[in-house]
Amino acid sequence: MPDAWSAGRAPGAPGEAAGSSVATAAVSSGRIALEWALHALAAAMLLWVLVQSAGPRRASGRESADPASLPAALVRWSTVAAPPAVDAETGPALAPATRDWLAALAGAATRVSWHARGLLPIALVAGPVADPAGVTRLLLAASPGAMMTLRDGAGVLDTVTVGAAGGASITTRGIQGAVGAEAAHTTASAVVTGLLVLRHVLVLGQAGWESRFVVDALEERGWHVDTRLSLAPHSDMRQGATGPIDTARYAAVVVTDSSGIAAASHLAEYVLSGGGLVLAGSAAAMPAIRDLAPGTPGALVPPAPMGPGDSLQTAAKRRLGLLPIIGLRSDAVTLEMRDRAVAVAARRAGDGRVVQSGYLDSWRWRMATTLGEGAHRDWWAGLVSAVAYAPLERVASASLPGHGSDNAPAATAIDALGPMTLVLAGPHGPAGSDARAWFFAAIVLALLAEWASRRLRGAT
Amino acid sequence: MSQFVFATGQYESGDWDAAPLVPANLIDSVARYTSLDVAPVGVVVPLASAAISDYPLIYLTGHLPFRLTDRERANVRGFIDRGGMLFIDDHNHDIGGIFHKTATEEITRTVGPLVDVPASHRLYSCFFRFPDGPPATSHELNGWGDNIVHSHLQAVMQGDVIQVLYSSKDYSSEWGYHPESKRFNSVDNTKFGVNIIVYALTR
Repeated sequence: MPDAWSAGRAPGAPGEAAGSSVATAAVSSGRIALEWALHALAAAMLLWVLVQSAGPRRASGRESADPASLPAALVRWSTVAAPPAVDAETGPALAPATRDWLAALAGAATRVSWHARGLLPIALVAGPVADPAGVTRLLLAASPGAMMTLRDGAGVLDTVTVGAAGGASITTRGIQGAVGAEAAHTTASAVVTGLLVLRHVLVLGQAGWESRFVVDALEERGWHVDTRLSLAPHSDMRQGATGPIDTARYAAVVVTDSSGIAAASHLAEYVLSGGGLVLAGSAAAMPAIRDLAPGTPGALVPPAPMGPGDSLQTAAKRRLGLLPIIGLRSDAVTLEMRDRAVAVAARRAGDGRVVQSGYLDSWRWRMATTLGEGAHRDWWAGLVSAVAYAPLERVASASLPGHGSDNAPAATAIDALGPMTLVLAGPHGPAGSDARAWFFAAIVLALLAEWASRRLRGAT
Repeated sequence: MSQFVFATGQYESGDWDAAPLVPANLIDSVARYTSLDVAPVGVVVPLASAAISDYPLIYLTGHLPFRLTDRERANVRGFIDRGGMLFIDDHNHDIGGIFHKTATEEITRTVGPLVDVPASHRLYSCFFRFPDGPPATSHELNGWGDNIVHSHLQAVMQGDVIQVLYSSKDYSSEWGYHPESKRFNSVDNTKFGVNIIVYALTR
């Protein structure tokens, strides 16, 4: 059916001038050219879309994902689309798999910017202590004052408030599997990184209650203890091997007093080659090992009664005589004070370590109360493990990379992905789909315009 | 380092001070044969006192019934648990005597059962050597008391470690003389006492 406009423009209409037919012909030819142009444009755009769909699936725009959509987005970015740039926003619990996936995308020529909302800079390291009781030392780093909860496979281990220096250290026994430290939804995890070879401990000194109860404490802890205790001018009480004192045999040597010890002259070589040495009471005064000691035994401080506010342990130690450590070397570290006197100090000497205790007759601490027995044992075990030479036997397979250890999630993520960048709020989803929609609309409009023009001028 | 102090235990029942010369004699022997730093005078420590923890080896003897009070019993239990050692000697040398019957019953009740100490135990070789086990006393050889030469001492043991050493041999009579008289003996009969002390200090 002819439309009204084409009917009104029918040839031979009344009042139509001859010149107007020329003008109409010119308009019609221009119109036809426009129609052809629109047709060609639509065809070209269709061809372009066809070429795009047949070629590599690389979107042209930047894509982004929030924590909820990130898992699905990672799959899509790796299989369906390959955006040239992505913005990934994660929560405070940035899973290692997510981090590594983003790093892999970055390695595959995708520009990755990321932001982990609430991810705290914390770190956790777990290492074995030279202690046959299976002690693990956990080293924590976080913002000063942060409260951290420690867990292992069996539940909560402890809670720790990080000190002003930004670090904390605790020792614990019987860890099950990996251990995690959690602070405000950010979790660092670690596994014990190896097994130590624990050799024997040698106790040297005069036979007496001190040497006997030191041996008891260390044996109860699980150490194999050898002894060379002087009993008479030509009679030593020996237990265990009688070979030379070296790191192939002994993890540590404990000297309980300054009695004439023939073996003392070999201790310097032992320590300088990596051995551990514990000097108790007056032992540090012996000329042969004086140069190894952190300090010099001072004048006797007699036992004192329990002071106000003293804990039971403090009071028990206060009942011991003390040779305060004076003249501390510049490289010595104070480990324990009693009042204003240095009671325990340590230093490195060559490849080995030396710890010096000024307490006398520590056995009285053990004998005093039932509580003292365990405390005395733990204290002596701590002194020995602080210096013991304990080479790594092998690295536990669970500690190899990728076996559940994420020691410092924020630092590791920054190392893998670069510095954290803020993701700007904006529409989510692929930018390429918008472009395709605009193209589709343009094609439809071009075809509609061409069709309308043809119909209005009466063409078919 | 503190000196070794020989301690005699005082208990409320019986005659705990029946052998007053034994401490001085053993102190003399320890000083004579070893380089241990030993206090020249012994002490008496009540078993009910917390002071027993200052003396990880305590010597007990007597002729009369041996009964511990509840406080003494609790104190002795803690003392043993923390590493102390008791040396108890029957001054009667009579396994049918009242001290033996009551003391062995009390030890069993307080610490644990007594067993024979084998002659191979380190107690007999830690300083002087006694390959045949405990040396016999003149009272055993003379037929006094129960008229038995006891071949073994007894002990409450934890593994191989002696916690309570019990003697039916009456060393309290054997060693109960003034140290000055030791020079008249052809053989010093207190040497085994030195072994007991050295064992306690090095076990």
